[in-house]
Amino acid sequence: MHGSQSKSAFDVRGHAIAREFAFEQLPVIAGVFALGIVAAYLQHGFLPGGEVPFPLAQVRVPIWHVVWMGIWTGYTMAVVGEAAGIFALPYTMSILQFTTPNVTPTTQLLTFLNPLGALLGFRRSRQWNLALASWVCLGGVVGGLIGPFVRMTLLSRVEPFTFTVGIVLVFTGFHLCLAALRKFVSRKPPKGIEAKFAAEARARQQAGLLPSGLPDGVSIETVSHPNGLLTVKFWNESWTVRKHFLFITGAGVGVISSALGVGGGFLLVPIFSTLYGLPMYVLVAATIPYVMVLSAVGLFTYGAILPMFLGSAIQPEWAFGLFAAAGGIFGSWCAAKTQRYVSETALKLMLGGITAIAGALYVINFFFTLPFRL
Amino acid sequence: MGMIMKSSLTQMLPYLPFLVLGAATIVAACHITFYW
Repeated sequence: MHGSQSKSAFDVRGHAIAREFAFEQLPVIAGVFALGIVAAYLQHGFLPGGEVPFPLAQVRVPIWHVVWMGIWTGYTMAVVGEAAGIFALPYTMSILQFTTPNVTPTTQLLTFLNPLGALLGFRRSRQWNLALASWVCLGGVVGGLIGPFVRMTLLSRVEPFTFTVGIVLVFTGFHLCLAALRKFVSRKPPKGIEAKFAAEARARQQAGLLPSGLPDGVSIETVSHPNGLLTVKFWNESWTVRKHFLFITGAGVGVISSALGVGGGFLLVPIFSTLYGLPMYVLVAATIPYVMVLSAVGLFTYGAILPMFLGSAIQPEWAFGLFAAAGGIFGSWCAAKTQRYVSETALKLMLGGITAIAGALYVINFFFTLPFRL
Repeated sequence: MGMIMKSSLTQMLPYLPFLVLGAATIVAACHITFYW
């Protein structure tokens, strides 16, 4: 009885997923990929890839490899809950050898488009709150305007740039390992939202439904926003945050992220979860729109505002970024659909380890020349 | 037959991240060998 029930649930789910992919994902992925081809002809007059180097990147790489990079960075980072930029940036720099300053706006193009699927998904599941998002995003606008100037002044040479990327990678690596270990060490049953989530998932599974965990009616509501404070409520729990703290955090994270070419989720998520105890289900309402706003403002600053002050724009390698983003959208969608089957702890430990080691090599390379290329 | 394939696919899903990372390592190694 139970077997036949789960089989039919599996079939229904399979069809629903195939339909969702064909009608919602495939057009977007194909559209972004086609845009990449159009962008290549508009920017350079030809299609780079394979033996033809990307002119701004000055590297030879087949197009399928750029798409694949988008897929695997999008997938792995979405499974552990971080944006793809933090993995795509060192891979682009060290494996693909794209080290000209254009690498920063190019990865910003990727971090701008990558969270699109997640944004629509969270909006549909009503993990959405404009009051919470707007203050962080406003900070992101300020940060995105300043960061590119830091990149072109303090971090204009390859060495200090990779050194800073190294520090960021070490931080992210340790944060990932710590998160995995904390979950592994604490054998206490989860409390608050986590406990409710687990109970709801169990109940739904027993009823033969998808174990999605969030009941349909739940959304992030703004309870009150008296001067300077903002209280949001989600699933009968509430959190109060200071608006100016949201703004300052958004601006600070924005300067660092847009100077390097990453989304900013790697800093924003630990800050919000440790300082305010916001659960992942709530903080995505702020971080996902933030990453997109910051990347858009960063791209605009590199292309349109920098030339007013420094004389020349730093254009992204549009085709490269769009090809990677096409893969990234597919990768993060796969992650969203398969996440519940994957042991997050093992993956976090492994990715954290790799990230921290890569970062440490970048930092060491700044002081001593390593016997291999980075 | 289809059902068997589907259920074995589901059983493979927990290993997907490691498969993806393994493939990424191989592709990166090939790129270094042929393009550097």
